[in-house]
Amino acid sequence: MAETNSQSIVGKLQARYGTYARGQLQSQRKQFWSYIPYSNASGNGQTTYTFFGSALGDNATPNLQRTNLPVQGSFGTSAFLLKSIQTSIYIPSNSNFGVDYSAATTTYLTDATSALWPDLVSGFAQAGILRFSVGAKNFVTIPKPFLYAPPADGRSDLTINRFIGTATPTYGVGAPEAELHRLAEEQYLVDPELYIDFQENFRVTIDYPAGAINQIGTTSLPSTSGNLYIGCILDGVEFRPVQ
Amino acid sequence: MATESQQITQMIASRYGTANYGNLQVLKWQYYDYVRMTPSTGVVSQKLNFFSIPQGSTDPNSGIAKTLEETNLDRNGQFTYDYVITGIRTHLYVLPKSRQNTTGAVNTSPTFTLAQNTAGGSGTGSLGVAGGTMNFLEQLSGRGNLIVNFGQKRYFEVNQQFKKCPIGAGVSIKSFGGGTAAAASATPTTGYWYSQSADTRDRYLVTPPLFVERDSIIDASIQFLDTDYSAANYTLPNLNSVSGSFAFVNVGLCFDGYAVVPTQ
Repeated sequence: MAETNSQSIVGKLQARYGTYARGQLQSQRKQFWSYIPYSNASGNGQTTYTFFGSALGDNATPNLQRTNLPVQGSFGTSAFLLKSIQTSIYIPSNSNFGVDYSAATTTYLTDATSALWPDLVSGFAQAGILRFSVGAKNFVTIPKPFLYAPPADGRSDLTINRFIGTATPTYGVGAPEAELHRLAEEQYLVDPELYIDFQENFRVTIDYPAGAINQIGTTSLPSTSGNLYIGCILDGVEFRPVQ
Repeated sequence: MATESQQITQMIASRYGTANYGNLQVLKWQYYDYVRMTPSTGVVSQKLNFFSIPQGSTDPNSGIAKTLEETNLDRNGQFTYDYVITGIRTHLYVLPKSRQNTTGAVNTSPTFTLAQNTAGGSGTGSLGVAGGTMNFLEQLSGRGNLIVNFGQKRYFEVNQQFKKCPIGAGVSIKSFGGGTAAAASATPTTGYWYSQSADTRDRYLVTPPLFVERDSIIDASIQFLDTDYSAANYTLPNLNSVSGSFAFVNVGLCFDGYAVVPTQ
């Protein structure tokens, strides 16, 4: 399509005085991520979670731990070839590291005191629908995304054992522990890849249309809202202008 | 060859339609359908039908309208897009705790996901108690036949489908336990946790792939045909003393593959 006069003038100005070389691109492997709190301020799960809905520096995503997206809902001046989608979680630092040691040593465990175990085997991780849309068109639908599109990130091991110290004789009864899958071959590959152009708007959501699911493990996690973060990672190749 | 009415329809569609079937796009896709394994009796249905009830319609066993979490089928017994099947998965799946049975307060059991109950050690309210839900699912996974027809023709027959066509996804379980026997010196008891293979390499691959036109009628079912089928053998165990306090279990069938989607 022919350029308008104004586009032509801007193009010439940009070519002569611009901060990057228009039309010349470099490519590199890139991951874009977005993490948001699982529970709202009332401590409840929600029926819709929107990822990449805020850019780095916004109130919801103030730092690089939460997101590295430059522009809300778009890759900005970069284009992106989407090769893999991952979901992930993290909990903020707390003295228990997600394990309720006090409960584990003095009382019998319950779902509420078993850290993230009940949430992973019988909570939010066992439900939901991830949808990736560009413009108004849906390109990817993943049921149970925390199972089908796990982090596959080689996360570290924490092996747990538990002993009842007050009982005689003392015997180990085990502490339940699970995590999202981390093997590389478990990752959700987008095949064929999807190309998202410069400035194109995209949207990633995880919905729970059959009903919101509240967090089950509570006493072993930080008590403030945002005690569990869920995230989506888009892995692929970024194309950006040469400077 | 297209009939005259088909030609007219195609001409109108190409000029005024919302989708351009002359310009197709291939997307990685999966068609999936989950059905409730038992009606309110707790007895596993001898035949579980898949891809027959689309979103918004009611699952006869659960009595609840299906959402996108249960299926992405838009039409009764038909795919929305032309579809290439490259893999088959089944999913034997205990519903999340908050969506569980209210009979016997299963959905609020404090030890639903653990091996045992708290003090008392009876296992009441826990999935993992010996002879409980997890043991039942392990036994069930050795039974059944997956049968898939398109049109009138049979394309897939798989025996012990929950083992041969596992979900190939899940969480990684590091250890299992929780709760304990009643008191010091009491006999320790055993708990169980069952899951299908979560290894994606165990998926049932369809080679060569199967192309299914979007208007083909799907007839897919899991059937329990052996002579051992009876209410006594196929009833989900109760989690406590209340009659009907079994855990809700869904069974899923998922076709992995590629959708051929018109551009818009």
